[in-house]
Amino acid sequence: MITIRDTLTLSLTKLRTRKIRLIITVVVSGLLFTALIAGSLIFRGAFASIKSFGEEGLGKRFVVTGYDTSASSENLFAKPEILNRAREIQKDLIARKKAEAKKLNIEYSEQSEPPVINEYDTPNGKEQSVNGETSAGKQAIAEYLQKNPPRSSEDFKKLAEPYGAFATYSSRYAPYTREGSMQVLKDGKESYDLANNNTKQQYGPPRGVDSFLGSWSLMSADLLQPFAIKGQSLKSGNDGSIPVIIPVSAAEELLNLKALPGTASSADKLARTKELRQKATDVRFNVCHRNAASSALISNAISTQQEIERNKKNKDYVKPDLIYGLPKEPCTAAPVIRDVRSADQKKRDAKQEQFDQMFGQQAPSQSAISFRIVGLTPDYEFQSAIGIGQIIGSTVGSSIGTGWFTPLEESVKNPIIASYFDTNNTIGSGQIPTQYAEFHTSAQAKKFIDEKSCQPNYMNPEVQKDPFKECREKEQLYSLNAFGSNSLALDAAKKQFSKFFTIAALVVAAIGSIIMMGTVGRMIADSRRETAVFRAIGAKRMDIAQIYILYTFIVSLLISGFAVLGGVIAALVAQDRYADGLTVQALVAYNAQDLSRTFSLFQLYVPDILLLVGLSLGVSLISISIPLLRNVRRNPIRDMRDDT
Amino acid sequence: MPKQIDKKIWAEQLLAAFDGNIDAAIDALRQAESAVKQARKPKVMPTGPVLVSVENLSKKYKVGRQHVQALNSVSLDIHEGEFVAFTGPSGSGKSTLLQLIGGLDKPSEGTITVDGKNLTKLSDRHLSKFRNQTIGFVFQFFYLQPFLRLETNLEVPGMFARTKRRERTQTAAELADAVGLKDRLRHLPKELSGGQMQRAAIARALLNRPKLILADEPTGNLDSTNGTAIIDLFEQVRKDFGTTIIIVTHDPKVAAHADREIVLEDGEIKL
Ligand SMILES: Nc1ncnc2c1ncn2[C@@H]1O[C@H](COP(=O)(O)OP(=O)(O)OP(=O)(O)O)[C@@H](O)[C@H]1O
Ligand SMILES: [Mg+2]
Repeated sequence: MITIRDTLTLSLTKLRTRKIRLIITVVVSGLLFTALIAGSLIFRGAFASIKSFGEEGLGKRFVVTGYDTSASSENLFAKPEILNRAREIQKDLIARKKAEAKKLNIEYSEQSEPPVINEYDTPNGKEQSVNGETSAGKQAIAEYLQKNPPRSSEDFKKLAEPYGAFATYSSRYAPYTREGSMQVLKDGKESYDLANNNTKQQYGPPRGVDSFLGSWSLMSADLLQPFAIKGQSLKSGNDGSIPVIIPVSAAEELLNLKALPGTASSADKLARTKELRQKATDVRFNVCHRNAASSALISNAISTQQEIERNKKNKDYVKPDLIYGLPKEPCTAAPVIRDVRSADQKKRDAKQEQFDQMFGQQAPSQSAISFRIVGLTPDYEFQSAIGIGQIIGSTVGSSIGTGWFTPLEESVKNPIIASYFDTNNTIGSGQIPTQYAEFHTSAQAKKFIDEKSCQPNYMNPEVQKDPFKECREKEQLYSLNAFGSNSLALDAAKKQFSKFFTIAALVVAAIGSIIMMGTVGRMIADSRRETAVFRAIGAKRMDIAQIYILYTFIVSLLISGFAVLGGVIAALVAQDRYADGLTVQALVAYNAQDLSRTFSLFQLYVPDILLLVGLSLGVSLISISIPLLRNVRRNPIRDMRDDT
Repeated sequence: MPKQIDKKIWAEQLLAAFDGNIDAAIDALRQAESAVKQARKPKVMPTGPVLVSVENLSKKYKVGRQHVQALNSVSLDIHEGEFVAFTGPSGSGKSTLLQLIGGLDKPSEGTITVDGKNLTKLSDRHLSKFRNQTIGFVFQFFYLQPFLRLETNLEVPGMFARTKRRERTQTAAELADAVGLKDRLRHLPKELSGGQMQRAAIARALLNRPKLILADEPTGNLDSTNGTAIIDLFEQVRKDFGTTIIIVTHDPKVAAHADREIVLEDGEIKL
């Protein structure tokens, strides 16, 4: 055995040959490890920050969400049972309408009924679906749900209680299919620019008050409370106003604050957050609900107006006898502005009205619902490029997410909201309520998830027709997840990251080994004659092996050094570019009271680094073993002759 | 004394050969000259103990299906302090014999005993140690490590011997001085001339004070001036350290310097 120092002297001479190859090896393998180190620094930093922010919001509570995936995957509209029943009801309805029309002596044609079944082409042939907007379709679905009630909050409670759940909650999203309209009144004004509203082109999800209908949820007040601005109550006010938490962009629009440009500095954004919390709190605004008939009158008024406008120069044009105008006051009925109908005509219209109402058509009605801002959620950030900022941003946003939230208990006291979120309406359109259970400890919550979460089996072809079969057998009726960024969700994310990190590290190690093996193998082959000379002057096989092992070790140190340097730089760049923005995002998302909290993308996590160091040593050992074993067995004189 | 011998030989040769033919006389003179040269050599008949003893040594190489008989039943003894030259045509087995004596390869048959050690019985570890301690190799192409300064190059055999740093640095400096490279210690091999490099290589071979120097065509890559200097250096080494020297050479002038010339032909010693 030669001394380490002498080995080093001899190994260092190896670094001076094939320099280009060596540099490429160090840079390429180094970059691979750089990515890993940067990933570790950045994500561990993010996790630590999330943990710190998680001390606010829902962070210290252990809530599990349950989503009935089997119910949501079921398409009620295509169920033969419902299709048949809808046809039956429709047939019966038409018969009754015909009879009634005869009795009232008014005209009625079957053709005027919208189809109760829609047929459309799919790659698998024609498919049918119930028209949920017809009264027959609605009734058929309602009857079906009556017979096959969806899983209720009670069912979820029964499932969760054995695991120690002490409270259950639920939330509902606004339905997809809607009748009538709901409009946020900006500055108290109603906009009748319906045509314009519908064609407004948007990239990404709607922002501002336009996002209202698409992202409105009702959620149990106990879950929502941590996201209310400090001191704000989630009870309806004396004036009947319903508390609401709204996206930042909507608050800005309601307060007539110009949205900050995307390039605004984080300091500006933070200032805006503070400003909004102050100014938006307790601000009231109205939402005008018009039922289908009321909305129809508004559209009628608009289209008649357009028709008159178009025919201004047409002398033969005769204006309709009955004309509705647009309301003078917001959220009031459309007034009649011309009525030159004959007594006879009026009588006929009255009869028609009687007929319509008999078969379920409602009289026009409209009313304003008063809301009061009690909290803010971050906006959904629409980004075209996928980057670190976005990935981490989505982790930050996972606390309650973006959208409009009103407390479930208070909301359903309002009959309009209650009917709007009626379960027949929501479930019929595929919006299954989400259930929540709260536990005392993260262990309880984890056990509940581990044992009762359904993982539908889409892979097994045998069960493909019914991917929920196994779940049902194991009484796993919901897909369960940790809710909000509590420690449970964070643990899951960390575990996921560690898994990903380990796999990525192994892949990098494998690639690194191949690259290194090429370089080390080349180096050893190049040095054959020198090895032979050293053997001739007395080197033992171990001495030669020692020189190459140390050489490889030095190369792997160079790679590690490069990687650490690169990783630290990358993480600092990420920190510089994203941390301030994420801080603001997190302050809003977690409704942090402590505005001095900051988000960091830099944390040294020793196990990750140890794993990498271990791997890089492993890489060097692997990459040297084969070429070395091959070389050491060679006969020195043959190598000495090679090029003489 | 040598003069007398010379005269006697000259006279005998002349008398025996001369029969009136002038051509024959010239021929005879030539033969006489060579006989004198031969006799002039200090035929110090080896008196010291035997250092290298080779018995019935054969070496076969297998190249594909062909067998090459590089050495065929060679036997010889070399004594301590001898300066021996192996000569003979190319391919006659000179290098093979030298390498076997140096323990770089194993013979197919026969035994080699060097300094009392039967090389055919030594393990790889012990052979390495033997090469390191007992042998000093000198090659035709010098084979210095191109990225090590001369001082470090000279120390390499000491590294493998685990000699103390201070000790080997001093030995290296002394040897560099002895081969006339004292002021080149901090140079890289590429900054030296061929003759200097070979002198450095000899210094390196001497670092562990070996009993036997094995040099395969050490002057083959040098001009005659440098070649002569190297041979003089070997002489010096033998004188100073008592080292036994075996060199392989094609150069008759070099061979003439040796105490003994062993001529190989087709793997056998030509008698
Ligand atoms: N490693 C080897 N493999 C196969 N054949 C070999 C090997 N080494 C030597 N030989 C053969 O053995 C014979 C003797 O070779 P050797 O090198 O000993 O000759 P040499 O006398 O040194 O010749 P030269 O004067 O050209 O150096 C040659 O025919 C050579 O081709
Ligand atoms: Mg040779």
